[in-house]
Amino acid sequence: MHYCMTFSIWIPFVKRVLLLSGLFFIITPVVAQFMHRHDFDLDLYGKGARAMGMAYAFNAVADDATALSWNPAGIAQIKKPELAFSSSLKDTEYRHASYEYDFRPVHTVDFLGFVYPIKLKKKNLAFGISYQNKMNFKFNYENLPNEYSSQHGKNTITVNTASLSCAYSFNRFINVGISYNRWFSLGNKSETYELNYLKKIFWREPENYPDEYIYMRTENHKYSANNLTAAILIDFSPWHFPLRYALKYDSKMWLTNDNDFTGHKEYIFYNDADTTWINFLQSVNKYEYPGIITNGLAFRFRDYLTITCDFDIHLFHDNIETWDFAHTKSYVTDDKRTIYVDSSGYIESTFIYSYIAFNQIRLGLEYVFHPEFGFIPVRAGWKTNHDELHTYDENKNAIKRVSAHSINFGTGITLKHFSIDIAYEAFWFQRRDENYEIEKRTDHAFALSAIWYIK
Amino acid sequence: MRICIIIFNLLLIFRLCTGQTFSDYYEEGLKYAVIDSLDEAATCFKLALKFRNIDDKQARTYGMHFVEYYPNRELGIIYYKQNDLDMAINYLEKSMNNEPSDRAKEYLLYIGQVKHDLALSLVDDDFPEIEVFSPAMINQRIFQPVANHINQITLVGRARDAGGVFEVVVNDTTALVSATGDFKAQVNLKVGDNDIYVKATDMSRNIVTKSYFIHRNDTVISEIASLTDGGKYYAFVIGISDYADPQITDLDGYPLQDVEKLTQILTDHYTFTKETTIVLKNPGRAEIQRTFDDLSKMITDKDNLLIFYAGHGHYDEVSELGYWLPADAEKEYTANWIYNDVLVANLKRIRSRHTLLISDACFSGSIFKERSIDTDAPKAFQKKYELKSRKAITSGVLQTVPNKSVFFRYLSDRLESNQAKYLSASQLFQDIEIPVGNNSPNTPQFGVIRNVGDEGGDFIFILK
Repeated sequence: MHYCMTFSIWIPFVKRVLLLSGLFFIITPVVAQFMHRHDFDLDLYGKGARAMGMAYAFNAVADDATALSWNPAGIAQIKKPELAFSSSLKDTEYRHASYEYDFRPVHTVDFLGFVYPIKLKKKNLAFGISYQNKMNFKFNYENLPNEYSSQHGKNTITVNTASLSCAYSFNRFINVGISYNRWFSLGNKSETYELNYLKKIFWREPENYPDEYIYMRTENHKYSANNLTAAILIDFSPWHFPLRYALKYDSKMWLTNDNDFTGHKEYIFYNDADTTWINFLQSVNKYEYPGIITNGLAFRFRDYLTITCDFDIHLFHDNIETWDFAHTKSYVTDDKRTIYVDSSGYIESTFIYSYIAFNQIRLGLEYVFHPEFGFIPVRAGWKTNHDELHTYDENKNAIKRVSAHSINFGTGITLKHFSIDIAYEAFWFQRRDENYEIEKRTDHAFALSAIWYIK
Repeated sequence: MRICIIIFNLLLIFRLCTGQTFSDYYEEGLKYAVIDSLDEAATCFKLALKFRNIDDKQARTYGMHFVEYYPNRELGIIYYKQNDLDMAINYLEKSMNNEPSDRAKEYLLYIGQVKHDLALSLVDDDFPEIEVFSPAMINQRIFQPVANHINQITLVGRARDAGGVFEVVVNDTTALVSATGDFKAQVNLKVGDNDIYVKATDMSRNIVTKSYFIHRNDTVISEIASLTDGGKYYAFVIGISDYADPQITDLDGYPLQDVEKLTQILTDHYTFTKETTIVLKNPGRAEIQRTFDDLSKMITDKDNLLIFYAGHGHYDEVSELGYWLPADAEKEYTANWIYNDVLVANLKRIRSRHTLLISDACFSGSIFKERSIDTDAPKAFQKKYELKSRKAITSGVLQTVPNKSVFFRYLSDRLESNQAKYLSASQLFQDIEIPVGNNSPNTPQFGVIRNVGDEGGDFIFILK
């Protein structure tokens, strides 16, 4: 480090740093949109194309190996071992009043689960082990280039669980189940942002601004948590009334994110030495996840038509996010000098999202055709969605978080020893951002899952 | 009533607590049905029906799993097997209404046929009649005994019924039945006494069963051997072909040939010796009488005597007396004739254990004239041998026999071909009776010679 500099050198350099600092704060909101995308996500759905085809209204159905991600009580119905796999492909269309981005499809392995049932005094006892993707922050984008700027980013971060489940058919009509979930994350995130012709943009003071600006950031996130899921599934069909009711409780938890951040900014001057500004940031973010009670109902007509509905109730309306920053350091360098600019040490803050309802309703149906060679299901559904971004009124107050809907379709084929399902989901929302500008997003998600019925 | 409802609900809850689903009970019922545990299977199907009472080709169990589910049909079949036809129809028709299947239809047809037959049986209450033709019978229920080596007989008979014969079963074996009701079945025999049951069923399910009896002779080798110790087998063989009186037709030498052949058979195959075999060819009355006298002196009560006579016989219808005609007999005078009574008197004088008279002569049956054929139940060889016997086999009843004797042909064949160690006179007769009857106008006879000391025994031929 070069802390011993002469005053004559110090004055112009500091002036440049101060100016460039201002530029940083102007540019930062542009990319902030995507930083938020891996904060809160309360859409903690289960997985599987069969469930996705029914708009995730699956808690009261939950009668195959994918039930491990939905309702652990459901696996008590399974009589022979099953192995299930599911993956998805998501493509995003994003339109903003000021910015346009071109997202590329991202693929995710959503679920891998195995259920092993045994008979215990003529009652079913089932064990399950599974890997589940719970939050998917993946994106891969670049903006539509113009003469002033270009931007691209890639995020491979997923938050997942490894779960151990057990279920028991307490009697003919009551199944109970419990899962222990260990949360962990995979992947990282990087973004690059470039501005050209800054002197044209800042034409009033062209001598103090760089000819080019490049901003690169990389982030490593390590999420972790533990929680339990307990559920009961009641089947009224022994009374010749084909109704099923599911009640599930996901326990409250704090999701911890150990975050390493590196920001790298280059100010390029064609007629002078370039300047580089490097930020190192380590922080611990904690997100309070409320307990969630899910009610599910499913009614089946003559074995072939199933109508189902889920309703999630989030037990806490005030949700807390805290930041714990440490070891934050910033350096500015040119070809001759490096200045240690800032070390924030320890910063703690708390942010509370208030008066926001996260409750969600999902509706789905499934009809099974049965030609000679097997079974062909067709599925459809509709659901409301949360979104993690604020929606603002004219006074820039956050007004609600339930801001989107989706419709789902699915089909598949079931043969004697295996089943393959596919599903499609169209998800869209429109909102006003914190600058009260229109932002639209549409996601197209495809899922493919397979279940092997092991003899 | 309220208590009943409470108890029913408690039982239902208890059942529900087992955790078994409708498909579990159904599959369990099928397993019991396969091993014919009908009560257990019925219980399982009823439990399955409590949870799901509709038959379905594809019943959903869980997930995307479907199974065949026909509890009504299977319960109906269980009732059919338990002969509860009304309940069977009830459940099978339910099954057909829910989900038609070939199996349910098939059993409904079975039940329809059974009910139809039952309805017919209410109208037709005539039972079929059974008549057995073969083997030969001693009386209406008892067959002639068979030799030890015969372990199977063919039973031939006829069952008659106006409505038609459905089936004939002989000792649990279904017999071959013709359109006219004639039936035929093989019957295996054990050594000793055998009961034979013939069951005839008509189209209206009227059933009649008749029982028969047949004895397969025992061997009892050691016992007979001990009994014969010290006893000799004497044969007195008389053949008369040439008569002095021209008015009596000669028999072309056939009796002499028969005598020679019989002598050879007896001495070669059986325990007769040349020393104990007396052969008279064309003897006169005196010669015959002298021989009887000699025999009466020689023969002890341990010995056995076979008398064979081949020659002319005569029956006087006025006096109702039978005669042998010796070579010196005259047609017009009876002085040299040998009356049956004389013959009987001679036999009486001989103290043998067993005496068998075989008479191949016209009217030879007159010796039994006043009595019926022996119909006693067959006895074991040992018993037969222990008891004294005075029996006769004759070639005809009261008829003229042909010169070339069919009777002797079968008699000699049977004696010659016999492989059994012991052959009783009654067995010998059974073996020749039918072929002789079928191949000549005569009917051979076998019976006891009265008033000469018969105690119910039998003459036993013993192979060397």
